[in-house]
Amino acid sequence: MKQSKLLLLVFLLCLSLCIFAACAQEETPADDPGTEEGSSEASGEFTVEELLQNKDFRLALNYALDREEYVAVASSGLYYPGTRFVLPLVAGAETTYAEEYPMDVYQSTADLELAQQHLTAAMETLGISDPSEITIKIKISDDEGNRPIAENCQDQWNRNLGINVEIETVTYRAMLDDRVAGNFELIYAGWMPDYDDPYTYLSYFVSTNAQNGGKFSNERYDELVNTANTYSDKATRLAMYAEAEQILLEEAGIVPLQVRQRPWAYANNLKGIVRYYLGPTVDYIYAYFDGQEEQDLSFSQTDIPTIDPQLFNASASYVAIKGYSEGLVHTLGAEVRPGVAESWEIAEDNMSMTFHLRQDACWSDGSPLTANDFVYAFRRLADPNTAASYSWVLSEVKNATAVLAGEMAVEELGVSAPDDYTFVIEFDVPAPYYLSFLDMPPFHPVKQELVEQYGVDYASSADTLLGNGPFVITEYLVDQSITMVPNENYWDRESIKLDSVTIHVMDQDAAFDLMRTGELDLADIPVDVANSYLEDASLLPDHTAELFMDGAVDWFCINMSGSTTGANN
Amino acid sequence: MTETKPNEMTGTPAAEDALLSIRDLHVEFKTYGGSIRAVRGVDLDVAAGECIAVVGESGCGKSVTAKSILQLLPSHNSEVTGGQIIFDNVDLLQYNDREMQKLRGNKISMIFQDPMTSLNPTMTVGRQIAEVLIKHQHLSREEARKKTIEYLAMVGIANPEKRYKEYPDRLSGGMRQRVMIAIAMCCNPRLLLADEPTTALDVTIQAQILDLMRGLQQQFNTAIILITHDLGVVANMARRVLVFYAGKVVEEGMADDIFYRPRHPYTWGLIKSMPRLNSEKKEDLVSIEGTPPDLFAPPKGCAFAARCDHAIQLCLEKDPPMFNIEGRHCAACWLAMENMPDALRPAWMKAEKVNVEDFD
Amino acid sequence: MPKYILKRCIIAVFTLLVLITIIFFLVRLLPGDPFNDPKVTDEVRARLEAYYGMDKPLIQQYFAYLGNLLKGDFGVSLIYTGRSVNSTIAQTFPYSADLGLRALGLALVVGLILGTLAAQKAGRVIDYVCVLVAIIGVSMPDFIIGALLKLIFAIKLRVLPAGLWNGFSYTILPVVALSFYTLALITRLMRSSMLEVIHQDYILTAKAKGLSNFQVIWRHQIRNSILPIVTVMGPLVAAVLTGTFVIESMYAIPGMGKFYVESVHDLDYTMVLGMTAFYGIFLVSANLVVDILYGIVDPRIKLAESKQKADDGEEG
Repeated sequence: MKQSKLLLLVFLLCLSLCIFAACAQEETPADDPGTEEGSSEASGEFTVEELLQNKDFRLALNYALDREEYVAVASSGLYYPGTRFVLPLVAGAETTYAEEYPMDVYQSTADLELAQQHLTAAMETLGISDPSEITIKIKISDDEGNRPIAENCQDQWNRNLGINVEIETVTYRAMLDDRVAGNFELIYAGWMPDYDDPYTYLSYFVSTNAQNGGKFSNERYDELVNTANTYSDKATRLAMYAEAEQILLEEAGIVPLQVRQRPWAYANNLKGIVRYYLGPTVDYIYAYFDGQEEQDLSFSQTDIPTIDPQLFNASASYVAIKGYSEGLVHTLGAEVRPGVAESWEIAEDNMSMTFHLRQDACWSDGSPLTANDFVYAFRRLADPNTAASYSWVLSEVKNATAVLAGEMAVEELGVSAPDDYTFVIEFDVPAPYYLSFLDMPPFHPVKQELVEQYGVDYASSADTLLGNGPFVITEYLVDQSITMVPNENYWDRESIKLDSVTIHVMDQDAAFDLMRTGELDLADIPVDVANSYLEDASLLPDHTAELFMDGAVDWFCINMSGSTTGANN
Repeated sequence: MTETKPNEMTGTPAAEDALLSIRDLHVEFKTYGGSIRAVRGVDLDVAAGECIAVVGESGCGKSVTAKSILQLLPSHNSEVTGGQIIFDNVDLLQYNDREMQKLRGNKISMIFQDPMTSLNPTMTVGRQIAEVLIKHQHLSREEARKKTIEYLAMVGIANPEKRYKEYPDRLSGGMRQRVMIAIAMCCNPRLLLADEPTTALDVTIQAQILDLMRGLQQQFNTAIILITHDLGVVANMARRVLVFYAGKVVEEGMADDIFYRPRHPYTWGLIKSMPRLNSEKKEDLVSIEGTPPDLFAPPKGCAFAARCDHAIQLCLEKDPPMFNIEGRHCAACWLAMENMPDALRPAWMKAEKVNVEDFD
Repeated sequence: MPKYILKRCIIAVFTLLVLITIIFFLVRLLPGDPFNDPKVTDEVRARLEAYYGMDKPLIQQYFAYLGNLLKGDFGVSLIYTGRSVNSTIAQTFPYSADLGLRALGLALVVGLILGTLAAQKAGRVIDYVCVLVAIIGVSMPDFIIGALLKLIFAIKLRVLPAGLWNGFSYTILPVVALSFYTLALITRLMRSSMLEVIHQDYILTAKAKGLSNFQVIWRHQIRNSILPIVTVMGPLVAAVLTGTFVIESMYAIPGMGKFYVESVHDLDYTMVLGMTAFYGIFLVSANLVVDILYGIVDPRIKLAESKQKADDGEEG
């Protein structure tokens, strides 16, 4: 009896090996049946591809949406209706980009007359007699937030235009793949900015951008976006960006959806916490508790995979890394302040930047920190052997692409240290926006001897790393908690008022509960209950509830490539 | 009611040498269908060192009577509704459970019918005996172990040291019953209740077990109440016999009296129904016609009347009391009453010594 | 007995091999790509894949993985850069095991007591109460019980902490929440098993020996009732000990539960495989232990061989 069982297991093993090996060979994304109706529409003579390529139809979609309605339905009014593409908070020349260059292509309410006009025009061109002949598909991921919006848009387009809309759900990772591959009709998309410049948004729709799966393509747009960086005058650049954004909206390359806001709460006497769409989502460096002895801060993030600066790959790590490490500059909210560098110059043609480091710059153990540490860090980032997933931040740096591809040695990277206190970055393309970028962890210095000594284990515990930031890590339990105390050797030690900082890693809902019971000092409020806390302050007597714009912008990408299964990508 | 009949036995006081004395015991079972009156006024005496047999068919109340001595009836649906059980000048029915525990396995022991299921399958044989010794005699583990091995040998189990460590599933039925006997006897009880101890065993093993019991009885001077439905077993073991029917004792006497001078029709039916090996002619097995009465509502007259060949009108109307026949021989039958017309009595009831074949 | 165990071990290893193979291929069939991030360029992606050996043919990757597995190396996480799966398990498992063991212990003790109580007092009020508790425990999902407990005791009454794992008082709520289901299961199993045992002849024998009620229950009833629970314990131990996503997440306990869910969501292939292999090993071991326990608890279950050998007891 036992033998036959054994035989059965062996058979199963071989069978499964064969089957799955066979399946694995055929694995290509294009096999995915994205749309059944897809390329050959039985009824009428029009195809979905032609429909999406029709500008009137796309404009009709946009004008038929009451954006305030879906914001009320999907996020209980927490988010802003999106009427443009670039985040309103992005810095302008004097104030914000949005104030200086308002867009009025779309309003937050619908313009049903205009929508109908455009729809009729589209239908005439394509020979459609009745809107109900039209069916389009929206692809969303299984993450919670997407569905209510998609469903409301579906409802509105059905009501206001008379067309049919279907919703297709895939996993998050699959959605990312499909978006790049062009395997969609309409697809949900979101974006977080990297630096304080419209370019971080607008570069998405440059026709050569691999991420531009919908293949929005406009010559004038490309020209504007690609050349704006060559101008050193900010006002000139911004005007060009604004013109590009206008084109994007007038051509209806996207359906703007919303600008997200994050509800959060913090202890009433906690001051100095900065939450901004740039930099770490929680900046606690200058925080303090008003009117009490105890200055120990405790809060949490959902996920901190690693705190190795160059291997940084998740935004929550930014919060942790910025505690113990500091880059050339130090952004606080919208401000760019001196970090390790006291001063800097940007070349006229925006092709290089020169930084002058403090002469007394040092690591937390007192040893001197020089420009060579930055050179080493940048080269480490560019080294293909490091396999840093955020190495793309170097794209503008001279020779970076070649170095990353292994075609040039790391020494060829466009960074240099003419002397111990001068650090120079050279670019392949004009990159005037790069300054605020340098606050990010991949650009932070690391000590070469330590990295080489610990190898793969660098930054795996408090003993295997060294930083130069405002705090020093006393205990680091990977993906569990980080405890820090002020760095006595920090150049701005007097400004640090906290005695300790503890960052836990836990689920968002659990964090909120722990804030309520006093174990944590601040936490995000779960979105579905946020409104009650924002409206009724008595629910959290010891805390203050607020909203801040975290920079995330959502929109529907429209596939204008001529194929909804990725055949043209 | 009316005046006492001539040889009617009135409630006799417990005999001075009675070890155990049951008087007028009534036991009821509560079921969804009502109350079953399982024991309806039983009197029973056992003297020290005496072996008596209690016979009757299934459901006649013999087992219930024995269990009620040790309060082993399920408490949630049974109730002793009257009577006394006197042991050592104490009414056992007044004892609570803690006090009974001191008695059980110690002064009074009981062994049961099916040895295959009467031992804990997950405990070694030796331990099941030793725990009685430890409980009542407060021996240490080692002392108890030694004594247990002695007892195992005493009840006729070979290789007692080896058997000590074994589990019941390694023993045959006969051996398990020996272990049960060892459990029951190891504290030298004054009284042993044996509820059909050989019913589940082969005939040859039966004889061995009975021999063992007899030997131990003599050795320790233990009184035995032997419950059985097999008259053959009775003949071997008991000095005195009580015949139960429908929750009451219907006849009582020395073994000879019962076998050779039965005075109750039920007893006669039992004797007649014993298969005989020595008869020459081929004959059907004799059985008693009819079935026992419904104990939910026992008849107001004699419970056996419906099945009795010799019943008279009186039998159907009034339940007969016990009538003394001679010495300790008595029967609960109207025909046993002294001044009953002799003509009503069948031949066997008048014989001095019956031979069954003569009365077919 | 040793031969039996050896055979079981071999089958166990084989089972694990089949399990790992299936998951290895299955997880790669999931749509999407672990390195696909909107900001990650194609070249970077290609390099990442090369770094993790994912540019080689699948079969080669498979055998490489098996080779590493034999050395006890579960590989390196694709998402948690630089972290080995081994160290992740080593760091998080103790928390899950701690939580799990306490929950299991509580469930066993309380479950056995309630089950015994219910069986002893069958048909009475206590029995109904115990059965009610059991039904609630089995029907309510652990996140509802967990959330309720947290709401009442941590947030409203403020008598217990709402999360983290820093001392005994922190363990109370999550352990109770986690134990509920198992407790309910054990209660019901114990009750029905013991009800059967209570009516057995050998229990009457035990009573007739003059043993106290407690001794009868403890020595004679429990050991015979416990077998169905031992059966169930194997998979139960594996499940409870290797972390439960919901309770750990809700109470901010840094155990391994979250990796089961997140590694699939993030398509962290090595982590998924590592978790699966770990769970598989655990489950198989737990079952093996259960089998051995059988033999100890109930000597009748002699694990096949020795029964035929010595059936020499027919003396009568």
